[in-house]
Amino acid sequence: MADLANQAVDGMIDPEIFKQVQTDIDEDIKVRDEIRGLLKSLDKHDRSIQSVLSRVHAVPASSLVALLASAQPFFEQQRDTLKELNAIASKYPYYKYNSIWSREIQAASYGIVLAGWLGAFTPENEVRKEGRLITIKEVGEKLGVPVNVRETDVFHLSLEEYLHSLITLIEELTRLAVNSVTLGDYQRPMLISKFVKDLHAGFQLLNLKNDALRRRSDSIKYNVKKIEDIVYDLALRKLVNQTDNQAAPSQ
Amino acid sequence: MPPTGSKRPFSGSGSGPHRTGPKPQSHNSQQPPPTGPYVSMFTEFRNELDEHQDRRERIIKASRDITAASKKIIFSLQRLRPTTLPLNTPLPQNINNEILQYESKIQDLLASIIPDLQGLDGPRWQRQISPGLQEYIEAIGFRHYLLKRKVLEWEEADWYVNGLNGDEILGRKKGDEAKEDVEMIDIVLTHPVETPTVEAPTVESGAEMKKEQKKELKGIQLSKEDYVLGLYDMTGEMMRFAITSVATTPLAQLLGAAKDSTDGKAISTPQCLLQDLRTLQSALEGLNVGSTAFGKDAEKKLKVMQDSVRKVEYAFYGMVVRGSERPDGWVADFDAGSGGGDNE
Repeated sequence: MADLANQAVDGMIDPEIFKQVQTDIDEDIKVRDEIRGLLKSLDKHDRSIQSVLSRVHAVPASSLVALLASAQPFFEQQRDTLKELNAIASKYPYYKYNSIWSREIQAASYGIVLAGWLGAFTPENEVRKEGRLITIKEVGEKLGVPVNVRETDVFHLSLEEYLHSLITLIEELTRLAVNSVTLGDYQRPMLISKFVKDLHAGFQLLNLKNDALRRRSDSIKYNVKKIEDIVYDLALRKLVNQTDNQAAPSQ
Repeated sequence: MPPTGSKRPFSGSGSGPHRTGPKPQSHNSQQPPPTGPYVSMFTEFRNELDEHQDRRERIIKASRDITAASKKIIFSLQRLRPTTLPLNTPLPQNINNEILQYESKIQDLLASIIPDLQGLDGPRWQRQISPGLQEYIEAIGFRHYLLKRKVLEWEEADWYVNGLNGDEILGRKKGDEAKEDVEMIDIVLTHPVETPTVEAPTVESGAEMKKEQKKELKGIQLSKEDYVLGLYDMTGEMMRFAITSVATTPLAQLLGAAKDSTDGKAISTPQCLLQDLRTLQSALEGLNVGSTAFGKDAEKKLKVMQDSVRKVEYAFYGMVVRGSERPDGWVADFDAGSGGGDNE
């Protein structure tokens, strides 16, 4: 057997094969760790922004300008971190590591669309106005990252990630509609109702496959209903003027 | 929404057998197209998402078909009964022809999805194409092993799954239909491996792809991960092959020299397989796979592989202990499949 044992055994595998594989695996793990390190600070900025913006539920519209201004430094930090992430991530195929940061960049996009809806990006010489949808292109500009790139393999905000952030926005606006009423602001729910219905109509145009986006998008209708209930409550009690309310059903 | 005096919505009223009144279809057909400030934006989104979705489905379908054809190649290979390894000769013609048929299908499928896996889309749909690629690696790796008694190298595997080398692999002239009785090559890569690029194939997009828009397409990229996972799977096939060989090899040759061994040095097929399985086991056990999705897959397959080796060892044990009690020339009707060899 000794004679047999030596035969062909060494020749069967070129040891280089697995050395090369191991090198690649190690490199992959290293890149993932490096990206995860950055995500920690990105996550921190996301949380800071959300922490500031969530006070919108408790403050009157008149103090929103100051509130939004106080979020500004966090947006800038976030932009810087995204720049770093962009630099690392663009060295590798985008979709190879996309799943690692997808949640954080969704949160970043959500911060922008929420702040934008609240009127954060109103030009200086204009009065703050609520209810604007920040497009994916604008989100990219605010975050300092390319969006929905199709041709070149670089870091970007994907269409799906933007859509996710819009759904989060809808969920947050539903809560804001409730709390606005509590604060005595009866007009904002009307604005929210119109906005969310329009977005809902948009989402209904999409043919989504059976994934997280589909499940979340299916849940929009519950938010629509909840907001309609609020509008109904207000209308029933004549707390809003039906004539200047576009959101009220006319059929 | 305040009540506006309208009746119950259609969904609740139209389906009962005692429904009266106008047919609800008349309402349906008058449903206005969606309007609103974001309709055009979302219509664009839809077109784009649909495009991704269609691409994804084409890839998944190809991957499934590649898997099915690869399994058939493996079945054909499992019908070989060599007395020793490597074969060092071309495959018997009937088996060769079977495989040729399946492999030509695989190469066509690979070529058909090349346009869907360009640039960003390659890594994007990796998870969708992976099962097919792994199964194909398993099949050609197994064939390579039987023919050469060597582990298929990554460069070789990459060349096979590239999708642009079909003609060479199938031994046909560029663009020819597969011919009968062609002896397929098993990577006679005399030239250094290179990643060829070709003009866009005329698959599916022929009409819309104008000549000036033709782009250089890159072949399918094989990840090291898929390569290794394919090798893990291959050990399952080696196990099945070994168990059948153990059962069909006369005891005298099982641990001694092979029947046709001219110099008495060639060992029997089951012995080759046992040795090589152990070699491969030790090499794969040495990999530090990490805890990524790949790492978890690899860990699972490692366990299956370890079981495979044990099964072969136990088959040897059984033959040694009980084999001498058998009458001369008695050969077991061994069902390798029941050993759990099919780990897919």
